[in-house]
Amino acid sequence: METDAKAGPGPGSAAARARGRLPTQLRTLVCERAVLDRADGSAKWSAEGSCVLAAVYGPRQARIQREDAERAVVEVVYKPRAGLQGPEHKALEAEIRGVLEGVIPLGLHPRTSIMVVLQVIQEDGSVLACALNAAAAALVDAGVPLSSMFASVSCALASEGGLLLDPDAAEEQAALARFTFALPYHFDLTTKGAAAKAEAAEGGGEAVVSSAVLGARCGGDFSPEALLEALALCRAGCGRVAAFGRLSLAKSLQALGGQ
Amino acid sequence: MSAAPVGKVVGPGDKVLDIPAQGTLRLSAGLTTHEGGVVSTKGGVLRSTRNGQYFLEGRQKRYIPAEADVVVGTVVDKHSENFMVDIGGPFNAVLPQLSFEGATRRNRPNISSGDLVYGRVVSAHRDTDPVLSCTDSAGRAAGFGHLKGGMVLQVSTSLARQLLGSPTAPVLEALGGGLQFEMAVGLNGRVWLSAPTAATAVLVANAIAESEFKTPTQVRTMVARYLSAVG
Repeated sequence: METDAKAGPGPGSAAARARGRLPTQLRTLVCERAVLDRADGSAKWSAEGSCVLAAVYGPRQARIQREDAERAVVEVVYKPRAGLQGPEHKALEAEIRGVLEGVIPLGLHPRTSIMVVLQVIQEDGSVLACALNAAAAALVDAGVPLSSMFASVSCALASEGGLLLDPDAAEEQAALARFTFALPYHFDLTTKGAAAKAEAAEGGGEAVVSSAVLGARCGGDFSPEALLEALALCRAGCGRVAAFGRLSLAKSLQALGGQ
Repeated sequence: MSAAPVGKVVGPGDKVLDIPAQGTLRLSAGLTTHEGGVVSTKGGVLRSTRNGQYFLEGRQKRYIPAEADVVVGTVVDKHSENFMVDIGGPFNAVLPQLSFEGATRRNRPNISSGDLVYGRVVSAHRDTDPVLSCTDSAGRAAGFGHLKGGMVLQVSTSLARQLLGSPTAPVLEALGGGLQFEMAVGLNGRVWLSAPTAATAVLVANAIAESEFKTPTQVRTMVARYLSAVG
């Protein structure tokens, strides 16, 4: 599939998507926090057809074989919706662990382990992004120190040449290439930062999505232009996921009197 | 200098305020400095104490020991010089057998594994196990020591902070007006309760556990209902 080398593929056409979704539109997000009683932190993140339950245990004493005298060890367990864990799930675990190690200041809790268990509940495309967002929400719920928050969004390069944000399983299946990016973000609550983003009324200002990339997983047949275009599209998507994440965090902390 | 968004919900990595050009800035749990600004490391609501110290109030379950915290712990092991105490943190704490009021090499406290102690954290360095003491800095008991009998209730760390704070938490004020009980609150979220009857202890435990998400008025109504039920 040859794409326009100068401009990149750009967002796809609206006609093809289920339920009349626009190419740059995310599915409806739902996030529940503190759903599990025994875990130190937990969250359930769903995007319509896809749903992942994340549980965080720790920081707790690491097993002797795993222990690191200098830093905390991050362990990720990815449990597929059905059946046993296969090599592709092990690869996902490594991918997720890399992202989490990028945001958790590991030196803060040496000799401990932080375990993140991800149980896929429903699978309808963009599961890795869903799992990463669930892990992020669960880590915040557990109170594990993080140097920055992160959001993750997938997109797919459709066979007609356009990019589709947050693809479902059918779109992923038909796509020429699939991309998932995890991008760090934060909010600027200082008066200067707030004034610069005065137009964003709620949540203390718009999310500042970093230009750095925390994690990326790309596969398929695509040009470098398509990759950059996908990154730009996912960055915009992450901004919206970030805004939602903050809203859901504020809601969960309402009992403490937070605004 | 109070440009800080106190009372706002803050997420990890958020830039909370700029470091002021002059004066002192006191930061506590959940806040650090990064590139000329104060940055949060977890999710919570920004609060400030009366002496201008900023901290994040979150609702985390896992306790991370900090110096000068008071904790309720379970003795899990007894060594020749120390007790090993489970305080709910990543590692067991060390409680020297001589860190009790009046303890000497000849006269050691009569504590065995499974017993409860109320102590304060003397040292909490990330690379070493936390160290407890059951005396104040002058060597007196000051309310610390072996907790005999009673029951333990597990609550969130934020509720424990509320129960220890001043003014007295509304639930304790309401319960104290009608019942007689003894309690020790640990910042690790463990609350030890002792009452003349088991029924009173259970009532107090239920009232405290239920008070977390209630307003002071709701708490008083709830306690009044409980008290009228037992007569």
